[in-house]
Amino acid sequence: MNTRAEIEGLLGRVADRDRAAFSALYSATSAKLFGVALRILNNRAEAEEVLQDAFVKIWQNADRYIANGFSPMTWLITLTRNQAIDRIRTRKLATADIDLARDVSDKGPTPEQALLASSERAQIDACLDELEQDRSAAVRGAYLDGLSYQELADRHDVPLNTMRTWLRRSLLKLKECMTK
Amino acid sequence: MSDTTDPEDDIALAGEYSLGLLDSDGRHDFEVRLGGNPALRKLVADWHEKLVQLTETIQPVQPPARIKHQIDLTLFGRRARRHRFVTPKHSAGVSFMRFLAGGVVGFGAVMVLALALPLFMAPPQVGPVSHVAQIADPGTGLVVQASLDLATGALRVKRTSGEPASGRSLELWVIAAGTDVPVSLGVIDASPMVIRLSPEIAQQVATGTLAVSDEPKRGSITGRPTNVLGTGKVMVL
Repeated sequence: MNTRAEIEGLLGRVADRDRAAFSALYSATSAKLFGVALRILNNRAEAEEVLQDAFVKIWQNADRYIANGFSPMTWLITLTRNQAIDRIRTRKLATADIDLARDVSDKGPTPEQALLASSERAQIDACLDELEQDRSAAVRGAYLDGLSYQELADRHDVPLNTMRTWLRRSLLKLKECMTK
Repeated sequence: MSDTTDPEDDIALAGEYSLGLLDSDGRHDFEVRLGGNPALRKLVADWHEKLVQLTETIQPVQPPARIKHQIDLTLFGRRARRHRFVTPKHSAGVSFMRFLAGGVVGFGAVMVLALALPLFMAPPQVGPVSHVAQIADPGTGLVVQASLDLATGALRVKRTSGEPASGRSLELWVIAAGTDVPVSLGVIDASPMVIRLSPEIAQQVATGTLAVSDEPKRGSITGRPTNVLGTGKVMVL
């Protein structure tokens, strides 16, 4: 298990063009990042490509990590998520039916995992639970599925502007809850 | 939108931005503001720290080994350790062959000379050699000889005449047959030196062309040769 300091150290060395550090960073983090790509894309081939693109970007942009003000795993996961979301947006331009791309049926933690995780629940889960269910689902849908405002509005069967208002208010409540 | 933004508006906007919900105009306007606004950047970083918690229950999945190989190939052109510098950007910029044909002063003359030169005096060898190349630049008096053992992927490089310019280095590239994209094999920082090539790159060298360029001390920072001094077609012994 790698600590934040270890990952940060590796990123610093990657910024100095240290290939051994890049390989070590890959060993330490690629499984998590691949999991994230798989969860967002629900498509193994696309997730593999996104993982590759992400690590190319990690090599090319490691020097920007410090300036961003993120913690190391957050930076890595956010970068990977951005790649995956871009992929979804490209995919959607190509096909009207977003379900075509899905080939992984299980999207979330198993019931066992959920039970185990519940005692150490992330703060965001508790705070999202304080919102109404469709608001909470909208935030998750945007983050984990890359859904757009229009798609969220369609999914929840509300007008676009209603969804915008819901989301903005929910974000403010979420921020307040998480800053306690 | 008014100039004086309500702090809550920015909190929500930063959240929408982080979620990826803004349309392209909105995203562009926000990013313009981000450029000069550290407080706004902090809001975005804050949002990402919070939202990333949604990935905590995502299980790690081991990716197939070939993915790392592909990443290394994309970034470094080969897997061996000697590569230290930036990747060739395969999709960007002027094609190498057009660069060779059109741009460099006196290069046409160098090409003709390289073809006219006798194959070369074989360099002292370490082990069997299957392929050789000589790269010469009359302008600088530089002569670099390379010998490849395809079976092991060992490429021996020796600068027999001439030197890099003061404070600069010579970098070696391979252009695979049928392509015009140079792939860096590293800086020639010792003479003689042996570079260990992966089977794929060794094959590209065996059937391709080598080039030497003049670069900053630690090699090209663009991933492409910036000042080619000479090339040499690799010949079978």
